[in-house]
Amino acid sequence: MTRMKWVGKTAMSGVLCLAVFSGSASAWEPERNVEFIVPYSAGGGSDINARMLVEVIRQNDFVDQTILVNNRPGGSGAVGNSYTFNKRGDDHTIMTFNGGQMMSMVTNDADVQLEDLTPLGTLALDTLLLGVAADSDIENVDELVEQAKQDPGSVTIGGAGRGGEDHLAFAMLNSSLGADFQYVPFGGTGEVTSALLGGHIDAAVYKLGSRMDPAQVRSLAALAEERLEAPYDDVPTFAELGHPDIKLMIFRGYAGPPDMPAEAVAYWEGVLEKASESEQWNNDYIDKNNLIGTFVGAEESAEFYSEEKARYTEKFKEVGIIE
Amino acid sequence: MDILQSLLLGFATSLTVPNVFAALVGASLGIMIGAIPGLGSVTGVALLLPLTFQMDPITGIIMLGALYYGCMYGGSYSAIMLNIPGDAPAVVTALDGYPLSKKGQAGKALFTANISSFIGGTVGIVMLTFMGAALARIGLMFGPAEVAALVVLALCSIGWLLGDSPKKGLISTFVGVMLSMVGIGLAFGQPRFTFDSMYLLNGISFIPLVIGMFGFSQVLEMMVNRIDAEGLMQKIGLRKSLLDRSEVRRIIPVSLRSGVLGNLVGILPGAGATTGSFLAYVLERKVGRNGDELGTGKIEGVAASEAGNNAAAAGSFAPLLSLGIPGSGTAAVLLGGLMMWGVQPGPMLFQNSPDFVWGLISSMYLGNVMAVLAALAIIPFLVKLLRVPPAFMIPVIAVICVVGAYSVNNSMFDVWFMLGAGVVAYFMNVAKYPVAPLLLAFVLTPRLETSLRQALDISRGDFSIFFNSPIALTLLGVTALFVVFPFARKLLPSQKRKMLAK
Repeated sequence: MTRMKWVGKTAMSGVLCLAVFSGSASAWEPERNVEFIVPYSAGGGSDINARMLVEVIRQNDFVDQTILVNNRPGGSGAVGNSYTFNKRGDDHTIMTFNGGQMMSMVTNDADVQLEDLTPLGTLALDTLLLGVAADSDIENVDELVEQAKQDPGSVTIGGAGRGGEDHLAFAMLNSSLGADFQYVPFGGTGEVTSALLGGHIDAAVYKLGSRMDPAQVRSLAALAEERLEAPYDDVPTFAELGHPDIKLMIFRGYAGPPDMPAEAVAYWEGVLEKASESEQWNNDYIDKNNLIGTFVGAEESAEFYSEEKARYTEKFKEVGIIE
Repeated sequence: MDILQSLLLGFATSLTVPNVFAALVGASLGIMIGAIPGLGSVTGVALLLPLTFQMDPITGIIMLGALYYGCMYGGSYSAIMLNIPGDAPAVVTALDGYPLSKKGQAGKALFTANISSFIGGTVGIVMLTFMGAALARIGLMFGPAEVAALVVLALCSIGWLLGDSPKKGLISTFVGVMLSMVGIGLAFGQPRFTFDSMYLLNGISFIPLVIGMFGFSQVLEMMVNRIDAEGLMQKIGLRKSLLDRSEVRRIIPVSLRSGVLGNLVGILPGAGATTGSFLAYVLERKVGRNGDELGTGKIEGVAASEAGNNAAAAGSFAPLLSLGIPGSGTAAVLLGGLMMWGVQPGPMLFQNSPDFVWGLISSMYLGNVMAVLAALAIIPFLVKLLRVPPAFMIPVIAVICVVGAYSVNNSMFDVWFMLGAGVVAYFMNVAKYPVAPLLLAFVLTPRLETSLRQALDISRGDFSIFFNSPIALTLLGVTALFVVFPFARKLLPSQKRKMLAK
């Protein structure tokens, strides 16, 4: 799996953090059952992430107490977010926190925002690609841009949802490629693929994790920071094509309630780091879901999230999703 | 012949003792999960999926396939016996199933549901086996414009269910349309009518609404009007519950027709099992011998709906297996499972892992058979359950309503919403406003809005996209015929009279 350069740095700081706390005799540990909030329904991406993490932790005895997954779906994550928010100061509550969840906080102007939660760490990254149907005449990004320039608004790009990751990726394309594309939102990547293969839309944006079949869909460029692995290793990044600002790494991380004690933050950060290094996590979760494995500690994650939040806000303003 | 050979090969892989046992366990679990309101096949498959990773992939997929089928069977039970549809397609089943229970014929309704589920499912699987890839290609021809036209047809067909007073039926339909507008729609991405409540941000949840409107309103009615419950509690022997030969003969053609139609609808991207069972029901109303009596408690109604939704479930596998595109929520979860086993669905799947594909397809036959056997074994117990006196029955149904509404989102808000919906529906029933059009409009409207908006996004606001597509044009033409037909029929006799006068 591709690992990003800054991951090494953050891994080091994570180790340092651990060293500091394991030195003190009274290092914090959970004393009762831990509640693991998933703000989406059972069977979704965050749910699979949480349940797999719990399984890795349980089988490797990273945590002595039982961790119980609690699904609190609703309001595009808002119900779970505010549930966690109301556990202020609780060190036995953790929650999955991902890029889409933060986007919906921004686009819905939710009560609970990033600043109200305590980031604990990030374990996986996903990115997006732009592609056309395999039988399309369009061979590269330039041809797609050219077509859109000849007749602005005539080139349609499908994606999953409005105001989510796919729409954000579209907004970046639209503002940086100098052409006027038309976005068409669908209920999910499956529906996007149907519309693309049926010739109803010209191009599509989709996540790396959705594993689009290269025999059906020709990927033109990736919004990744570095070249992806096979089968996408021959797909250029937008940076290589001269558009370094078109990049989007969607994170899958974890957060706790506001005012979580520092000892607990360090403890959970340590657990996440151990999980990220385990073979089981990398084989059963990262590889099987086609994600990019990483470990980013609590502090770095907080910085990363707030930078991304600023970028999301700016881009969503550009496409008129928020004012 | 090649397909038959492959299928036999598939059976050779799937028909082992552990696999048959896995199918039986999966089917029984599925029936239980499906019968509990609030839990559906998506949850069932998602919960069982991690367990199957320890198994051989083929055993795992057989268990999940059987679970999926079992859920489709179980979903009709609570709809028929308690008037609580466990999922959206079962709303259509309740239309005739519950009136049958009220007449003391719950057993017959349950048997009909199972037999027609079996026939519909088998029709669906046979079509999947022999024409799956071709049908999936046809499904791709349905873009947003075509799906929008199909949903317009379905929405206009609600008119056939309006009952005695079309005015009241229309009001109920429009209330359903309005309720479906709440929340962030895909079309605009902005919260609408949410009154700043985060619980309404994703719209009104269907399950609490349907449990309240069908199930809890029934509880209220049983409390107020005790006589009503008597038919339901009538002692019925097992023998009375069995279908006689003429009844079996009545439901077989219905199930076959509905199976073919449901399967075709199931293949379309995003159309779903509800549209499938509903269109099958409407078709039956139009062409069936007892069509006009549908809705008063006819086994044909139960048969059309159940055959339709089981066939649609099989249909949703066609795009999954041949193109790697999940046709339903459950298929999407299964897709995740396939990938975790290292199977890459897509056009190459049939070439790359034939034993797996044909094992899966043959497991559907196996799952369907196991589900019907398990279901037939359960019916006698279910029929006995109905003998519980109303004094116990009413609180039990009320508890099921509350638990079912809570379990969808683990949210008390949904419980209060369910209770409120129940009270509203009770008064609607008293005033003779039909509830079913409201729920169907609620399910179909968001689909229409989304597809309409997508089509217009693609065409840059030009409505000609609907007239340039032959499929959409045909569907809209049929819709127009449906709307005009009743008026035309009124005119026709007078013309005949004129002709005679000449």
